[in-house]
Amino acid sequence: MTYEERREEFKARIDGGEKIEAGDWMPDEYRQAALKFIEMHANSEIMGCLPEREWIPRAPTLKRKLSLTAKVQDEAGHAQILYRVAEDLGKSREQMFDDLVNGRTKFHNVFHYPTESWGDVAVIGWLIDGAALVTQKALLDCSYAPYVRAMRRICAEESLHLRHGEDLTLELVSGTDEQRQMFQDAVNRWWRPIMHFFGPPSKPDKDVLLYWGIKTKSNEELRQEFFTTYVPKLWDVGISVPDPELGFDEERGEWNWSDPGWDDFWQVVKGNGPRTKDRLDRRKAIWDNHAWVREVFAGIPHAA
Amino acid sequence: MHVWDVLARRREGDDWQVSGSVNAPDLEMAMLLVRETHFRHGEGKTYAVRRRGDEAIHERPDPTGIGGVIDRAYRRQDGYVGVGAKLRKVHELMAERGMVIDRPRPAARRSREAAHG
Repeated sequence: MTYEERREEFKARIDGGEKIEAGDWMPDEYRQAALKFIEMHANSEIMGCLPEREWIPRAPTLKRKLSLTAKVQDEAGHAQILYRVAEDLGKSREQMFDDLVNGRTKFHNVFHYPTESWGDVAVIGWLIDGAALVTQKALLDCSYAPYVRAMRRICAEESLHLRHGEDLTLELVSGTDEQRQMFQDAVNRWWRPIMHFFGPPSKPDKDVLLYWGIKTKSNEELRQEFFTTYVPKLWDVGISVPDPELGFDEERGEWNWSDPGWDDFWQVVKGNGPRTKDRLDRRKAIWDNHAWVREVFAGIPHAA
Repeated sequence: MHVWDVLARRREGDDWQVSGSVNAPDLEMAMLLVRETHFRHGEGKTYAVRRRGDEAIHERPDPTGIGGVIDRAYRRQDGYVGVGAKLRKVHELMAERGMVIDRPRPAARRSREAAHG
């Protein structure tokens, strides 16, 4: 059988709803697309620890400190699970980390921004984790079986994180005027990065991830789902969204939304976000400081 | 370093199900890493590991204690019970104060379905 014939047979398996296992034959473009996507997801989980980690020492109560610590621990665990899935697609964890800390691979745009108040922690916990959950739930039907198994585990924990985020939000929106304003300010600052999180409207027929069933929904479908789930809840507690156009169009059955401008997004994609350098430096310092752990695991004795 | 596939029994009497894999230099470390990365929230009755390429399945000898410190409310969904009701209460309060934002939105039922999708 020629490569093209095997490729067609493989595509037919995916179109027929079959799942692909790590040991199965797969075309190079499928392997590359799945690896790039899962590696980026793993990078985002490990980099996503950093903005929230900054608030652990400043959490307002012991309970909040413990719950935020547990959440950050979960996110680091997700990265471990996902790097292992990516490794089976042919790239070592060391190489993935080296590429991450040297800016050769990407992580999600929302983790390139500063966290300025406790309100930001609530926005990350509720709206950004909510946006992530919308995208991650869609991956439960992905064509790559090891990734699906990882996502089952991750989605269960992300649902818990969402509860944590809702709880933080509720405390602020039902609190003093200052607390409500703190949350409103955070929503105002984070709305554009959240719109960017879903990516620009894409052409589904040109999306290689959709073609191979690695992603199952387009950027726009996911963004619309996010609006439907979260915007009414924000409005119901009197929190506005900084988009005068945002509203549901009954006739089209879709939300109207304003183009948020994509310059910031492309700057972040190029590695020029407001906190990109600090966060990568921090991640590299942690990687370097923990080299001894990897050496112990590898059975290399300590230098005398 | 070896790759160890993770096998789980979610409920009593279930067959082993592959739920992921870990890198570890030996069986003891594999067991520890699996507990921390796959069962920290008490997901399942017990687990086992199988070194990739081998036949032998190594079951955790004593399944008690899976899930670590799950007596902490923030580690469990039910630690946040009542959040939905609290959200509705704040909604009512905001409605009384005239602060709810009334803009075009999907019909309430559709919104709820998407939220619980």
